[in-house]
Amino acid sequence: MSRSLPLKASFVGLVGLFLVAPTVVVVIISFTSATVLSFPPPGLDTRWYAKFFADAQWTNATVTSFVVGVLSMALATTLGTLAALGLVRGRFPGRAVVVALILSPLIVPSVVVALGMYIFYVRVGLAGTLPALVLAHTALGFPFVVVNVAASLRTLDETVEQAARGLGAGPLYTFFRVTLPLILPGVVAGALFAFITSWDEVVVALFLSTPLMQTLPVVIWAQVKNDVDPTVAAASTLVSALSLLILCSWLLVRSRAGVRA
Amino acid sequence: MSSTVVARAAARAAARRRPPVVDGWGLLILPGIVFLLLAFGIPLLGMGLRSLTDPSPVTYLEAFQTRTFLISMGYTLQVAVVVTLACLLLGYPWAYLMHTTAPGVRWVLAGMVILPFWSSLLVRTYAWSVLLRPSGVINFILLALGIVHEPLTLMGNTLGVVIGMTQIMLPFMVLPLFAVMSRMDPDLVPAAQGLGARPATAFFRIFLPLTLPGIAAGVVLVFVVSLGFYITPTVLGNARSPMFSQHIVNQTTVLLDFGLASALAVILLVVTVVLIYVGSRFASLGEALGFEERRQ
Amino acid sequence: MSSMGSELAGALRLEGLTKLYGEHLALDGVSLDARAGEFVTLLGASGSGKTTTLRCVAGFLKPDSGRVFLNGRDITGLAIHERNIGMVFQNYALFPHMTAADNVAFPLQVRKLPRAEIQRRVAEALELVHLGGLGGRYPRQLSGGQQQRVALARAIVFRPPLLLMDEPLGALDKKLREAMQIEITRISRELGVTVIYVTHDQEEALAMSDRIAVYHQGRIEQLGTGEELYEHPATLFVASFMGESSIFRGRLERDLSGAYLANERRRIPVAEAACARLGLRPGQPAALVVRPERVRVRGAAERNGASASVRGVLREVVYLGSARKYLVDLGGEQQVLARVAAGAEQDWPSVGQEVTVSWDLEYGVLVADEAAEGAPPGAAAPAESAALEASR
Repeated sequence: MSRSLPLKASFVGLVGLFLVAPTVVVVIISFTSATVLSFPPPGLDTRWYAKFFADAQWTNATVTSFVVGVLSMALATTLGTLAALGLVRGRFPGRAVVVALILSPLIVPSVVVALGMYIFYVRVGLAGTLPALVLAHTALGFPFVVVNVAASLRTLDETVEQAARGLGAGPLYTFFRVTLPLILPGVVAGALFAFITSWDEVVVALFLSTPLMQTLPVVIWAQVKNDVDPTVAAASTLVSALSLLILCSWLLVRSRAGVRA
Repeated sequence: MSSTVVARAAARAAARRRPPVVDGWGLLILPGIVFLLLAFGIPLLGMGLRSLTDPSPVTYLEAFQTRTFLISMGYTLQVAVVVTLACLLLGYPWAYLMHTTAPGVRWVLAGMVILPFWSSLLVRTYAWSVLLRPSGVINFILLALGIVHEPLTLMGNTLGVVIGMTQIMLPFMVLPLFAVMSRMDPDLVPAAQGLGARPATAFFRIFLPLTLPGIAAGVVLVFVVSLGFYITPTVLGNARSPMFSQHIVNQTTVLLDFGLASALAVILLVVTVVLIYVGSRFASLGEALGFEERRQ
Repeated sequence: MSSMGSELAGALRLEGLTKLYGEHLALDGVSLDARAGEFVTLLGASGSGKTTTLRCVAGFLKPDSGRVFLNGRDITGLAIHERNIGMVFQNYALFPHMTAADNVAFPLQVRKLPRAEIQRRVAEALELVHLGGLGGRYPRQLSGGQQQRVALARAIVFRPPLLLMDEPLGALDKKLREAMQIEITRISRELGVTVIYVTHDQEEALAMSDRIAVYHQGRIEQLGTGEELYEHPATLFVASFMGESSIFRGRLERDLSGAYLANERRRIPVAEAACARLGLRPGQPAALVVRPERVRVRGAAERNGASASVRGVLREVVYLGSARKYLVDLGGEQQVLARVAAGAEQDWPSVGQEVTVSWDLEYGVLVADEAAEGAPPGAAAPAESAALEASR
């Protein structure tokens, strides 16, 4: 096998570059001292980050993104955890249909979702409002929570809960003191996925936002299309940085849970 | 009453009592299901209704008969096929390398494929525009090395779209493939070699056939998701040959023909669902995505 | 011999195989000679190096040093697929996407035999393992025992000179395992193929093998027939590993009355021949191994010039139907195990009674006591000592 090592190494190198280079380049560009997107950057400067934090449009969008993200994460996590419990432990008719319904937001193309949401919220007079966007993003994040919590539940040994019941604990008490702590890694993972989904989501947000209520991706999108200045690179880097942070904390939670288990 | 009579009555009652159709746990799915139906199902239904009532089902005739849309659907399918093939050609060897290397290297390879997956699709599309534009990184390198004398047109065409979409969809091909490879009995390929098969023969007759479910899962996933792409083709593609979702957006935001846009959206949705259904017959998507355990 | 017999049954020679995994020495200079057509078992606990040896022979592992010869030819550097050796895995390793018949046909297809010939040989191989007619089934449609037999058929259909088997019966239940042991022995004899068989089950090893190699910490402690290993173990490990025994430890000493093993509690006479075989000098540590079948239990003392006797207290009697096991406590943590066939005893001593255990000197096997080498003489364990009697 060591005979083909140069071939393997060059393959990994090229494809690896293909995978990683784009994000790295954006980070580099975000520090350029030039006013246009040229490569290589003539010098390094943090002015675009300063511009980002000074511009109300950017900062408002960031706040909006956070708020929408946190709210939709909370809602999706609550609904999703309950649904996962029902799915794994419960008895109900039409299981296949229910599973298909739960997974449907993953399957439907985002443009289709966006159009449907737009028409719907215009009809109920909520188009362009924050709640509409939160509800839409909740629906999109919901399947991720269900999948993660269900996976966690399946590895849980029910005899632990039976032991708690035998010791005199009621169902609700058992859930909060025994079940929930044990499935927490799955719940946290699902919640993080739901947040990231909302944080990065652009198409549905595009349809449901207005000049007064915009998320970060929407502003980035406008800038990308008009290609104004490297601030968008700074914004992109910050967006990615948060996603990366969340991914790393998820991995940390996972490995800690693994050690405990 | 004697104890035996009581016992027999209890037994008969127990036999009559069948397990409930919906139990306490089962009720927990209701909040989520109701929410989805209201916040997701109804909007989609509403859109479907709009397609039939704005002004009438004739909209669909218009959709199917307009050349632009048909060409666009054909083009979209083409792009999806090319992207799927590219992902397969790059993704299978990558997954194979992940499977056969030492754990340390494996984590690095996995990280390289998963990390970009977590940065937003929009950001990566933007990044590609920075790389592929005439004044961009790649052209800069090619010109500097003297490989070309004029910048190459790497975006604003199908090439740019394919490049961007392939990088974004690659994890969707690699992960199911790797999952299937990991589940394979590790003794099978050595056993085949012990029986006299050269490494190449062992690969083609034993390893590859057994990864077929993973290939099917990856192909279905990448193909179906590629059909619905909007952001990447808009930024990296040619405005004169749009992909299908671009028409939907166009009809909505520019031409304000919600009826036609809805019809096009329904068509895209139906194609997507049908392909997923057909694909799931050949590929165990649930397994590949980690939803279910294979029943041994 | 059936028409499936190997044209050239293979003699296998291993020379000084060594394999190091980081800090762990998996194989420490393993050497072995198996004659053509012989059934040799590699016996030992998990991690003792027997599977590692097998994998080196098959080519799945490269030894750090040492060589493997098959029929006199050095195959150490050969790739796996060039070695022409049959292998049966513990979990069968059947190709799940092929029928049983296709699995068996695979090595013949790889060797590009004509189709008619392949069909004939596959049918023959399946018949040999009593699976004729089941060739069209997929592995998942077969039971564990049937899958094992398909694996065996696949490993011999191309008539290899050597057959390697890595704990093939581990996953089967007891009855099936015993039936398969008989089958495997029968088939290997019919084919005349050399077999290297790995197991941790000594009963299995004794039942099936011509010779057994006992593994301990990456080395072969002893290679011999079952009888040689049991009656004449070469080391303390082999003695304790094979069957049960009573073990006395001490230093070899000699005086006018003869040779004996002495520790701080007692002196046990040993046969001269045993000393000579071991080649120890007086003062060196040694261990005396006595098999339970050779030990007699009496109520009263025995006076006999050619035997050793010790007094103790009967602690436990285990009734086994065909025999009784007696556990006698000699004091100071020394115990003796005796096994007496039913019908042999006239008076049955009862638990708590004082008894004399004795054995003919010729059945006392002396082995080197590696563990005690360098240890200070007689680590004392104060307790009541039983009365000692050295018979003359």
